Amino acid sequence: MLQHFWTEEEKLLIELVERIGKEYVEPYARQWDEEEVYDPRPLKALARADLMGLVIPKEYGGLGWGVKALCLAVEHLSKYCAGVATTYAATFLGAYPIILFGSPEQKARYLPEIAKGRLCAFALTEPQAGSDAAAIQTRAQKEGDYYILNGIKQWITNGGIADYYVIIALTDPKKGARGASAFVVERGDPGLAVGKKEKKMGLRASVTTELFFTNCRIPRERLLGREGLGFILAMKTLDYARVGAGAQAVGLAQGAMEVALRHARHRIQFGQPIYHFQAVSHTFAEMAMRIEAARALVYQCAQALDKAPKESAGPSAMAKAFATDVAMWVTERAVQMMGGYGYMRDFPAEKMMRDAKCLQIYEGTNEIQRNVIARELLKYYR
Amino acid sequence: MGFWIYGERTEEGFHPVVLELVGVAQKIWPQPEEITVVTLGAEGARPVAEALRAYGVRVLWLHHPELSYFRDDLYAAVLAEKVRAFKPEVFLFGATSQGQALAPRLAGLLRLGLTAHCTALELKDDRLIQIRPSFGENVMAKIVSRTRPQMATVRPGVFPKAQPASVEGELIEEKLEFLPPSALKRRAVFSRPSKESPLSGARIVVAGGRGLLTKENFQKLFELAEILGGAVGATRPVCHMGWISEDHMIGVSGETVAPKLYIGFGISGALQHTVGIEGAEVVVAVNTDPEAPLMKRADIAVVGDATQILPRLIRRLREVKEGDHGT
Amino acid sequence: MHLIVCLKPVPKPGTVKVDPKTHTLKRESADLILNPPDRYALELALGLKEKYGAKITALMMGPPNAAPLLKEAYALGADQLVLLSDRIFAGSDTLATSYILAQGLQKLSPFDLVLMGKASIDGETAQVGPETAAWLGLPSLTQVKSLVLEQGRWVARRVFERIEEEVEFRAPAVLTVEPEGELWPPSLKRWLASREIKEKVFSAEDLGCNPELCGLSGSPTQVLEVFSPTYEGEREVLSGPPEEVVDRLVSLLQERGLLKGG
Repeated sequence: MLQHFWTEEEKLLIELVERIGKEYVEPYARQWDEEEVYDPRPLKALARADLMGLVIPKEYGGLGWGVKALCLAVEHLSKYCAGVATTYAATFLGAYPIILFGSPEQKARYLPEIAKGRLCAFALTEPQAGSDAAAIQTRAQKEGDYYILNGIKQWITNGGIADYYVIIALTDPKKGARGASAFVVERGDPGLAVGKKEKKMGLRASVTTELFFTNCRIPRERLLGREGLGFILAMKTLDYARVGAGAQAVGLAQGAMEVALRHARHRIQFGQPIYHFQAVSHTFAEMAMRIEAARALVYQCAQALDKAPKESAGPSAMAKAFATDVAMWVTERAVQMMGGYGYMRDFPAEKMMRDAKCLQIYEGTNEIQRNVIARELLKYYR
Repeated sequence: MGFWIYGERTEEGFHPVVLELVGVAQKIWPQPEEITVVTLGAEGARPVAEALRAYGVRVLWLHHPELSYFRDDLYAAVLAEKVRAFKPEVFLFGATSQGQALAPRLAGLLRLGLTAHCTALELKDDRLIQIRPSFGENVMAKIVSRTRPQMATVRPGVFPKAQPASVEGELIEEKLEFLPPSALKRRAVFSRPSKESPLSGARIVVAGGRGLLTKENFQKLFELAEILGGAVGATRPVCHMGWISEDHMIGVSGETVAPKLYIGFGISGALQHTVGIEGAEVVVAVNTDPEAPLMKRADIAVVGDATQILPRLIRRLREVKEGDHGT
Repeated sequence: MHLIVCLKPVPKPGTVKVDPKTHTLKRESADLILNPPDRYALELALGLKEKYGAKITALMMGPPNAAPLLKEAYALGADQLVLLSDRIFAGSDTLATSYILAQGLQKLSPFDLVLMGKASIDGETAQVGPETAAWLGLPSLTQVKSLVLEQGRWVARRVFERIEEEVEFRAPAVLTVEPEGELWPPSLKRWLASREIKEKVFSAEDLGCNPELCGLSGSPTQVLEVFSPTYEGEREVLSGPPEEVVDRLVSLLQERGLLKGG
């Protein structure tokens, strides 16, 4: 409803993503969810459309656009299936550390391949290190020209389907968080094993697995940045990812509102479309307000990341927590507005509600986001 | 030699459409002795050529070892020469893969008009009226050709087959001495996994169109088909939207069905689709627009939202079925 | 290697309005799209370009307002865009159309392969491919689903109802492509670049067309009349609340004995 004054290029991007969403995602989204399968076809379509290279610099075969463009792609994809959008966005979670911290050699090796459609993953979480990320135990020991990785990573989006994994591991356990470093592990590296595929409540078109590292031996050129930079790299990457999760939430909420609105305008009860009952129409008014507010925050934050990436932690946390809370609220209301139809798995609303729940949890729970915002507030208002 | 029919051969003999073309020719052409089936082949095709005589038509069999299999350029060049020599008034082809490869090539060589996919033919003042659906527009078009022979391809399955006649037709055999060169060489042939259409022989067909709005709604047709013991059909747009595979498509580019009962949900009734259901005994249409072409053509027109009617019909039929078991 | 893909602008299904009086198509009211079966021809060409390296020319006959569709062909991977456009082309049947395309193809020669869709979704004739080949005196193959180059010879896999054949031939040739396999979306990079690309436009005069062979005068087939199919027999119209009409429908079907299996 609110105008956003996208550039001509951004409008083309939106048109293209919408087209992919309608042709390659929407008709199959229910089936992927029901059967809990990952289908590479929409990702291949995105790659053919150059969208896997959206934020990859031009010299490495990408379009060299910014976070804002990525948010547009993620938002419009999420309208059709937040699961597919998760696979897509998680690739950039793995690609951003290379874009931000990779050496020219590392960039030349990985970025053109990513732009062509190879998937990435980012692995920080471990069984005993979720919100408390500093509690990770995966070790990376230097041995001559190699690092030897040992440990377990958990709930890794794109596990098994990605070709490249950015792994946070301790090079110096004594230093705690400051002893963490980031490495690129490639599919097929000896000692990397993919665990079972998790059974999830939502986002079931995406793949989540464990990763096991057993004396996983990688050349030392795989170190990103330098030793001890792991946590800074992870936090910076998550700043980018969080605004993306916000965009995903906006798209999901928008999709849910549209589905429910179509229903409310056509469903006749007591002799009129149910939309004409104030309890219903006011709910939609509330949905629209919250979605537009979330969208405004997400894109303001994305623009800020593109222009002044240093001050990004607080705004990204706000965009993520606010937009994903909106998505949860809107999708739950969408189910309610559709009544029995909302609850039935033959209709898309209940899937959207299940998908929304994960958005409040991953990329840092919304409780952690509030910790970040509170911490940043004190830095800002010294 | 007035009325020519292309005698397409398959591994099993003549393509069934050849007998359908003979049937329609015998119905509309005033000089039945002029009806000629032209077939090309090697020596081995003789029994096939012979077999057609039983239908009371003349068979012109052009043979040469090089004609053992269909080659677009060669077959068209041979036929072009014969058409120039004999000047038939009409030349019909089945709208099969081979017919659709050959007829337009021949028409191009001879600069002739050609009408595709006719579903009816009439003769008026020596002119062949070629009738075909004009797609996109919900009308039939009557088409004539300014050139001779008047050429058309005819949709297989729309005309009844000719019956064996009391008098056998003659077989004219011509062994060709010189053949024009061909640029095509067949290296191998593979049998195509016979894709039996899920619709073939169905006594009840439930079909859906865009009016069902979503793939999910469309899926419910399978439930209905199961209850009724029928098959699921679709219009072309929904196949293109990926709701269902093209094997289920009814119409010009898909299957022709002739069930006892056909129910169309949310199908407006573009001719593209309805030419495929002409043989249906009872047509039921469900549509919000009572003026939609399928609604006008239906025996039972249900005015209503197909997305609402379909689930209710499934529920009601289940009740009826369970009631039967109870008694 | 020079591949030419012929693309037809067709009305987008569902956007065409029909004149209620004359029952004719109001073509100007329709949105135009690339004929979907032609996309498969372009996709096959793109595969050959990737494998062997090739220049792809997108060739379209149509009115000037069809030009944006050529830009879409560029976004999908075509390198050169050519529009054949002239008022005397209007009203062409398949024979006249194939003459005009053949003239355009001669202008663009040398070429290796001409690829077309199997049929258009508006005309549904499947005739223009073989007719064009006949005008040019080139071999034609229909319903090709794959192509490989072996020591200078092309080998096509081609589909009939019950069999598939592998046919060998030498370029140049005119092929129609079986609509099978995947279609992919356009490239954003190329789409952005397409805004700067201009198509070449050739008129009848540019092509040296004989006006007698174009448009209505070059079309031996003529539409005598159009009519709406009529169906005899009584029609039962059911309307009202969904529950009620469903009940009435079920009893009607029962009465006619249509619900008993077998």
